[in-house]
Amino acid sequence: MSVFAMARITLRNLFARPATRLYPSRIKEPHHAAQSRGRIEIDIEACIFCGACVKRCPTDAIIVTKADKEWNIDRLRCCTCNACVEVCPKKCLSMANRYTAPTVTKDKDIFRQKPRAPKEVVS
Amino acid sequence: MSEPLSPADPQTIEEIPLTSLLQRVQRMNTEGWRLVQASCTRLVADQEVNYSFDRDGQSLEEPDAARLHGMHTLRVRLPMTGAELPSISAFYWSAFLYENEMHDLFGITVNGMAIDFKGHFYTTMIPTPYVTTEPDHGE
Amino acid sequence: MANRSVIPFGPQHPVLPEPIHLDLVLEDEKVVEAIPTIGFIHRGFEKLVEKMDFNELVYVADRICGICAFIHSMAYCQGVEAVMRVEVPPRAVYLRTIWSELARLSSHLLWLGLMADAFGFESLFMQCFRLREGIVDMLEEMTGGRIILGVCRVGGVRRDVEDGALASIVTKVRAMEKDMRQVADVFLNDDSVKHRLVGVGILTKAQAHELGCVGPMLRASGVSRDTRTLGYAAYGAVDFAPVVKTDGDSYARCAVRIAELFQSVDIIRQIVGKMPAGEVGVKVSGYPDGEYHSRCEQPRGEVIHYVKGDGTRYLRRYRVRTPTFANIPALVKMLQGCDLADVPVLVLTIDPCISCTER
Repeated sequence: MSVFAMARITLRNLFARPATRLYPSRIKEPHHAAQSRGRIEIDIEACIFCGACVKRCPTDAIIVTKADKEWNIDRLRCCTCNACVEVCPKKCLSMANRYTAPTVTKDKDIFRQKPRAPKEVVS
Repeated sequence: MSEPLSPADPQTIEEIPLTSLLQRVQRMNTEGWRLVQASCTRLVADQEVNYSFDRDGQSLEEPDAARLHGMHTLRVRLPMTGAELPSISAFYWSAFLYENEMHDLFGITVNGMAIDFKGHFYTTMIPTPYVTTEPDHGE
Repeated sequence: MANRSVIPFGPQHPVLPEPIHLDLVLEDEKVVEAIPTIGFIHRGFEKLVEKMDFNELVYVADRICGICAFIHSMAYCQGVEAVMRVEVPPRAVYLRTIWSELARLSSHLLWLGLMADAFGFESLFMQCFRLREGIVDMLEEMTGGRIILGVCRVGGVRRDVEDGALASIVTKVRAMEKDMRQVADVFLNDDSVKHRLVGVGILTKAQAHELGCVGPMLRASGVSRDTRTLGYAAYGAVDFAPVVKTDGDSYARCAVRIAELFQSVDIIRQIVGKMPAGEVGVKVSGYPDGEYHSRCEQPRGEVIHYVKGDGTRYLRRYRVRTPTFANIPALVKMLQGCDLADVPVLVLTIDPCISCTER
């Protein structure tokens, strides 16, 4: 007759620390594992706007405008599949391990490359 | 019969005429095959309905671990519009789920289903959403 | 003549993990008939073959379900690889098997928690989920995702795991066994739990076979059938036998799933011991032309991914037949004649994954 099979677990929990954490005031550090898929980051100065990431993105989250030198991503569409990071020829895309912060609007994150100084013409 | 593509799981597909469907399914039932799935595929000029069956290597009475026997699929061809199928629920009661799904998504009329949801199994905004005149290949 | 009334159960209900609607025809407190309605989260995944090519469909396969995610993508990749006759490197095959077994552990622990919640034992529910966090953290360290792993691709896997990391996974999982045994002891031996589970929803061996049940539902009724015995992935190199119980009631199903927890730990230990070295993926060129029904054993039973390619980038047809789809007729039959208070227990006992069922 086993009536209090759970008693040992319950007593242990009574005298131990809570298993949960008061997020967001206490965040687990180190935040996630090193390989966690959080959000896409770009080093915009290295980007050549080839559009390979646009072709590979399964959710059409990335839009690239070569004329304006602009790379933007819709954070709410991105499903952190890592395909764009793997295909980028210049390796300027990377996956950070922190999640995108919650938002209330569906804005895109826009990255624009700084205009470069024109090359000097050698006469 | 198609050539098996994987040594771990040999499978065979057999095309049969619509008129012999019920007879073949009844034979599968008496021989102890279980219904694994039923699905529909729209091809270019017609559609095909697959009924897959599977059987254990040993008879059902022996409780020892049995290797799965190998899946056998019966295939029936139907026209693109106005397709009608007899229900196999007399032999396999659980077929009513697959047949309602075929009706709701592909517009195939199945006569004599065990439980007929009358088109309300999947209530989609567009009725029979898988019926398109030509496939839309995105970009 | 007793009073008959019809009670709607679901799709929103505190004990239901997923939206299913049942119209329960009651006579006093006994259920006379139950009519299921699904379709609340039909997302039309299979129609996405028209927009996404066969490589991108792996992302779709990953996201069909939030509990059994990895095995869906593995079954899809296996299907396309069989059609295109791709030889996947052995290390990738073994890694896929390890992740499948970890996913099975995580899914069974989740089910145990939900089962405890269904008969009202909240603290046991919390304990099971606390154990599951350990598994999910391990998956995150290895692959980057907790549930949706995103590691499978056609031709292999996308990430490698070092042998040292694999050895530490085995150590951690074996350390969890002690806690799992304590929780299992509550499920199997506690009197109040047994009152809710023993003799509830009996399915005989013949009934289970006729209704087309799969997975632990079937094995708890005495039929020894486990798709892993086919030997796909690395299961051919592993020594295991399907867990079978003969009573056919909810207690037997619970016992089967608990025994499978320990079986998975053992399988992981065996696989890591035999891990081959080498690369983890091959380049795939060409397009699939042909068809195949790829079968795998999910935690809930046998899943079938049917892929049919016609030589172009886009597949002709992609069809997923999930185990819960095959178990729903059994649910309908079991509900006839049960008590109203047993309805949540019976719905949970088939391990419903309605998002898989409806895709």
